[in-house]
Amino acid sequence: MVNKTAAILKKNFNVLFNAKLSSLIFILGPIILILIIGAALGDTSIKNVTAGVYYDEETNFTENFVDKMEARSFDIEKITNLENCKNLVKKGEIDVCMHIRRGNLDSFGGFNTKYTQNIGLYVDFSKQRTVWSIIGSIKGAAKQESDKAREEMVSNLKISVENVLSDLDGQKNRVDSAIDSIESIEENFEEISDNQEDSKTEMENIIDSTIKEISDLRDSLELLENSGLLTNEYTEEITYALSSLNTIESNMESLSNIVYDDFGSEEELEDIENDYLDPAKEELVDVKMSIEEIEINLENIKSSDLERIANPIQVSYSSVIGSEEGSIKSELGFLDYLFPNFLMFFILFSSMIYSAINVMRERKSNSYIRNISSNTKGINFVFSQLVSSIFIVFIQILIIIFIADFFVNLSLFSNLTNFIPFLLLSIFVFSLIGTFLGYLFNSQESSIIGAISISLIFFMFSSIIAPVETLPGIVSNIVYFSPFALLETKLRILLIFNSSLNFSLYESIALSSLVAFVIFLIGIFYNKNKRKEI
Amino acid sequence: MRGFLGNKSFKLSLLNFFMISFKEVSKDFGNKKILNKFSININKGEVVGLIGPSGAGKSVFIKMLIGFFNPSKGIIKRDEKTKMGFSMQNNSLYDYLTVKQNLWYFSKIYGVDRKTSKKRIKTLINNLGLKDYEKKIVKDISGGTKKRVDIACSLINNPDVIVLDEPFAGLDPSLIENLLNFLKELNKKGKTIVVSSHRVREILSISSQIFLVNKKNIRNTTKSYVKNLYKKW
Repeated sequence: MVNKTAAILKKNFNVLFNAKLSSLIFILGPIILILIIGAALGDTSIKNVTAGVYYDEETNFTENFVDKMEARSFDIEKITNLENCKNLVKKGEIDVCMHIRRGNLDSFGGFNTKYTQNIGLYVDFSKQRTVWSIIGSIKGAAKQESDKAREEMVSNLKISVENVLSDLDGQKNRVDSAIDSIESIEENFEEISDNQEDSKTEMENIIDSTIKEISDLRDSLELLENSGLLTNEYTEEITYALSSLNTIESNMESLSNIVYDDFGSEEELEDIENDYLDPAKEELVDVKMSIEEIEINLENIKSSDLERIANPIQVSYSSVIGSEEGSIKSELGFLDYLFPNFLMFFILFSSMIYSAINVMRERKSNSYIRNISSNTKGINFVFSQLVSSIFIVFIQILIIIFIADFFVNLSLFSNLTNFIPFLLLSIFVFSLIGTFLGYLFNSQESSIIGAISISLIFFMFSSIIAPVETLPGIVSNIVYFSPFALLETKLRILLIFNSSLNFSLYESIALSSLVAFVIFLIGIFYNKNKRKEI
Repeated sequence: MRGFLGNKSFKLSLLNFFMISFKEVSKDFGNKKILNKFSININKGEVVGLIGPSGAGKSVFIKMLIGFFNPSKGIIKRDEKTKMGFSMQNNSLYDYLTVKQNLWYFSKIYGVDRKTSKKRIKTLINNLGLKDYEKKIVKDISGGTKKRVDIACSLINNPDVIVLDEPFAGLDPSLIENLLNFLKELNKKGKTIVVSSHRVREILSISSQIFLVNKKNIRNTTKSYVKNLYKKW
């Protein structure tokens, strides 16, 4: 039993290692994969993000913020129209559109609102791997700016409160001064007349009452000064102080009348009025006005958006689709965003593996010798293999799409004039590569492993695992033009944003060059290996 | 005389006389020498039997004859217009096509027009006794029938030269007899036939010329020599 098993095992390994290319692929495959992945994915922070920025007015904040984003390796493009900005996200030309606008003035009372900003982000949620990193990075930069702005705003708030307190202190002095004046009136009255006892008593009562009111007012102001400013207590105190001042004013008027009606000579009374009553009244009027002003200031402080002081720069984000008026897709879910990726993965693996197997099966068939001995040109065989692979995979894709239409919210059949040619193009590109692998290797297992390895490399550099935004500079430039990354991006745009199929000049050149190069390689390896199977 | 024979243009004119000519041909794969410097000629309308032990190089010779392999040294002269048909030891058929689909496919690949194809397929199916099998998947028919289908495919382009590698392998005596008769019929129609086989009796019964492949060499021999050799083997 053991001997037989050992013999079978030995035979299997001998078969494997006697096929040199197969054994090379077995060993080199994982080495190459891990080297590529290690080099490319060692650092997965986002690096090559292109962001569009649109703002209503250019301010120090917009300048600072753009500088900060550029320092975070964002490639910032200033865009003069918000809709254009959003459209660029839909076309995949930029990763995010940032709309910077000033905070709401009314919500900030009398304070300086230059620090408050709203940053609206319009993103493509189908870029599932990068979209949160991008939002996070922008939020990080905004938080730094927000911290700076908060410090300045709190400092300004402190100054405002200190000014209010200082005003209150001044008013206390005035109240003291008013009290002194009224006490002097009292002393003068005693000197002017001792025989008008009734009037004197009445006047003394008024003065005592006035002094008491002023004293209470002073206490109120002291309490206001020492209490927490931003509580309800202060408004009650202010109200009480104002009410006291009204009483004082009324008392002083009564005092004035009594003085004219009942006391001494006119000259003496005028002196009292000029020297004591009028200054006291003026002082009290000033105090009243000041307190009213303080009240307004404090109301402003109270009504200010204190949450906004804590977070003056607010970042919000939304899907660029959601902002699309009349959009056919109102709410897209996880499956909808994932579907283009899934479809592209299927096209990749199915096309590569099926076409490689298709070619290899033909090469290994007994009838191969009869085919190549005929007067039919090699290009006919290669082309036919390719077309048959494309057809088979295309049918598979159509089945998937028909069934997926029941599950996803994407309008899969609304853009067929772009969608069908795109599918055929994608299947063609990967079937071509698979066909090349079929002619490159000499055994079925080698070609399948080759197809899977290359598919895996493409897969690694997809928007799900390692999008170009997370790759180091040179690698990202190469990966950007990899057929899978390029076509996957186009398919996402096509399905999610219902856009037309557009390739830039560089993209067209990259794709055409790849196709031409692979066709050239197929030509070489077809002729090199076509007689190996005989 | 030496000077006369050494004249290159004379050599080529001699080569032109034969349908297929191998002149001082050698074939090796890397360091491994398979056939070494042999010269033979195949005339139009003859049946050539190819015999020799296993591994002697018969199949390599046949592949050079068909044109799959180029010689490492020497010249193989053959008119480019000469149409070749062949049936290899392993039948060159698509297992998952029917007999008729195989014949249709190869007629297209060999550039036979539609009308001729239709006529020729019908004739071949009748002549090779394949009427009952024409709609059957090749995978499901017996080895002997497959061999007949393969021979039918080799004749689909109406070749001038028919090369058969081990055509009798796996056939019962009656089928061998039928096949021999069929080949004789073809030969009567002017086809040149090259047959490689271990079955010496059948080879001797059909061949007008015999090549012996042995010790990396190919040479003309006689039927009596082969009979004696066969007794030794």
